[in-house]
Amino acid sequence: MKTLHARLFQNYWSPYLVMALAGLLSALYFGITGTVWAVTGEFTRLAGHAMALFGADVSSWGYFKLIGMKGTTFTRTDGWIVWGMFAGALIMVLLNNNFKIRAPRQKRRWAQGFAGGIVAGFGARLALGCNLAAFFTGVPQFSLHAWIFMVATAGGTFLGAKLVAAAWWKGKPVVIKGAFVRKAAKPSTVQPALGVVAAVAYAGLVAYLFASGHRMLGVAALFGALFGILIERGQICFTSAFRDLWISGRATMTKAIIAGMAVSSVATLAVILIGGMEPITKIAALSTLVGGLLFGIGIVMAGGCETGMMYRLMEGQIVFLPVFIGNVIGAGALAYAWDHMGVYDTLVKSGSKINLIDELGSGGALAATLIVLAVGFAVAAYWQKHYRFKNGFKKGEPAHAAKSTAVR
Amino acid sequence: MPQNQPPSVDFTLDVRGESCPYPVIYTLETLLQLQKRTAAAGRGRLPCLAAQRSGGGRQARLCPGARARERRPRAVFLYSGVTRHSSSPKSQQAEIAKRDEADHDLLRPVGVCSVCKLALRLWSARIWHPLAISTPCNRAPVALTVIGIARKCAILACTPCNRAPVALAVHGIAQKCAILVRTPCNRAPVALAVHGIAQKCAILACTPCNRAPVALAVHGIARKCAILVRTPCNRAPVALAVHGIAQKCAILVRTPCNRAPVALAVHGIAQKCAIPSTHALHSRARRSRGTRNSAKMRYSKYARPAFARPSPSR
Repeated sequence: MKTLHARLFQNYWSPYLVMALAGLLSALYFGITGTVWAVTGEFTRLAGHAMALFGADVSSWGYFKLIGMKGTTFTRTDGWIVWGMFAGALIMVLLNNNFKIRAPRQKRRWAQGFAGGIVAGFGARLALGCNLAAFFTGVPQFSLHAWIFMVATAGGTFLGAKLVAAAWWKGKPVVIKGAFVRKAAKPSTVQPALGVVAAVAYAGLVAYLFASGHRMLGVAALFGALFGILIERGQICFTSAFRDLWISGRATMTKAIIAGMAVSSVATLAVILIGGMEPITKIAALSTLVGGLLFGIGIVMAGGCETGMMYRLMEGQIVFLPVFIGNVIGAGALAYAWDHMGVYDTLVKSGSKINLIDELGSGGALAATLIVLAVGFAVAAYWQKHYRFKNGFKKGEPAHAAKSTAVR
Repeated sequence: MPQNQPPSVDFTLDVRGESCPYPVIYTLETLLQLQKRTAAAGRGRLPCLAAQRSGGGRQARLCPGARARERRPRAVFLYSGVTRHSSSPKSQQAEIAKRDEADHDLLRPVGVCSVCKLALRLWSARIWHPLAISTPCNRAPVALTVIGIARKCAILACTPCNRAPVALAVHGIAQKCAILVRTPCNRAPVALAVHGIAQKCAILACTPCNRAPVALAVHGIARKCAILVRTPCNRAPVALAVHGIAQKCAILVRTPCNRAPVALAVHGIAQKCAIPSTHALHSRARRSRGTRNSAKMRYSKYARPAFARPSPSR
């Protein structure tokens, strides 16, 4: 029992398992609700509500007509996905006794996170989706725009990684001579107890939504919490999937996400074929490329994508609060610029919706998707094996200090 | 090493509260910096930190090698930073104080003008990084602790007892995390570098004499074994990182001053081994025993490659 508890709540789960589960759940969620797991659309609506509070009439804005602004965040499935993710992540953090207010040593991180959040929010909505709708759940929908977005995001994260590695951006670390001695933290039982209370309360809320006839909201709340649990337990960060490739050569998250997308592609196609559903296809245009690039830069600047931001914020990393606010502001800025600054006419209007199922058929779309994902997996594995940080820490390097001393 | 003595940690990198990717960048760059300094000192002359500080002032720092050689040629031990002449407790304390001051300077980039930098570069690489990272107890090799959030992005941890004896050996690529543990005998600081994710287990051990802390880096799954060895002088803690399968051997090497234990991480295949310095072993043996034969007897098992004669067939 103790081992099971430790496995579930004290150890992090394998990212491969987590992403595979997330892929299955997202396909199931699509089959039930007809929508995909996404968050930044709701961020944009939150921005719309905020602007409406200040007197702006957003009902006539083209972008809000595109994504829909009916009701409030608590009467929309997308809203419950977002709040459910927050709740699920918080519950797991509490059960893990892992909540702690963490503030960065470098004060500049606040401004960097805010700026990154704005850029990422703007870019995500320009591409009509973030790392979820235009990436993790976009590829399994066989929408071409997801592939464009993914490639552009990779390029953006590369530029972002160059930016954050600059001395003026990262700052100088605090190096102390000698050991750092601190008192042992006593294990607290308060947080796990609060976690149990929060879990019971949230389960009651979900049950209430079902009982009151709001089945879709209940489903969204349930799946949102499950997604939140998964991203927290797996420490799923789409930013690290790209950024770590450029900084440290780490490709674990990259491979896990690719594996999850492969699982999700198969499951989603099964849902589409069995349920006779139409896949969700977004416009593939220049905006997708530009948006992906901006999104990639922004998430590296901010230190996390939308999903990474959510679970880290629940862990008490309060530097992600300005990231969240920046995301909402950036998404709202794009909604404004969509009509008022000619973004739609310049970058989007010329695009079209392209779905691989329409172009290649079901089998061809799935085969093409899996082949490209397999190639991506192989490239990531190769990259991880051969990347070296600034030519340092090479495997098999004989020039160890001790040996150098000995042979001298 | 006494139980209550602070562990042998040279520097601590404080990344608390920092989110990804800064812990990784900071850690890697700091380790790389330490590695370069160590390597530079190993390839070139012995470090002159203590001697250079004896000169005092900025000029001494600018030209550490020159000033040191003029005053006390090769007078400073590699890891300890204490001169051979520092025999009395008082003078040794003074040297340690100087060393600490010099170490403090290591934490900051040397503030020199560009002309001086260029002159230093042109003069010789051997003095560019005078090195010397000395541990508090003057016995252990380089160690770096990184404190902060223990996430996948960070290479850091404190020991369960929160005393943080840490030697972070980040061999290979960066995502490999390190987990610290103390030895079962509660005496030795142990750094466990577990490459890969945290599920991979690590095995602790004490040395047979129960004096030497041992760091075992067991890579991969538990079948991969680790081998413990004591140093010849029976004084030094040894960290053996045996990567990969059991055939891959690790050989210990002592530092020239015969005081500093060395952790040898032999990566890759067995050919990439390190060989003890014959000269150092002989010198040590002559001083301690007086005869060369006894030195052979004593060290041949450790330094067999250096002592082996060519076979008659050749």
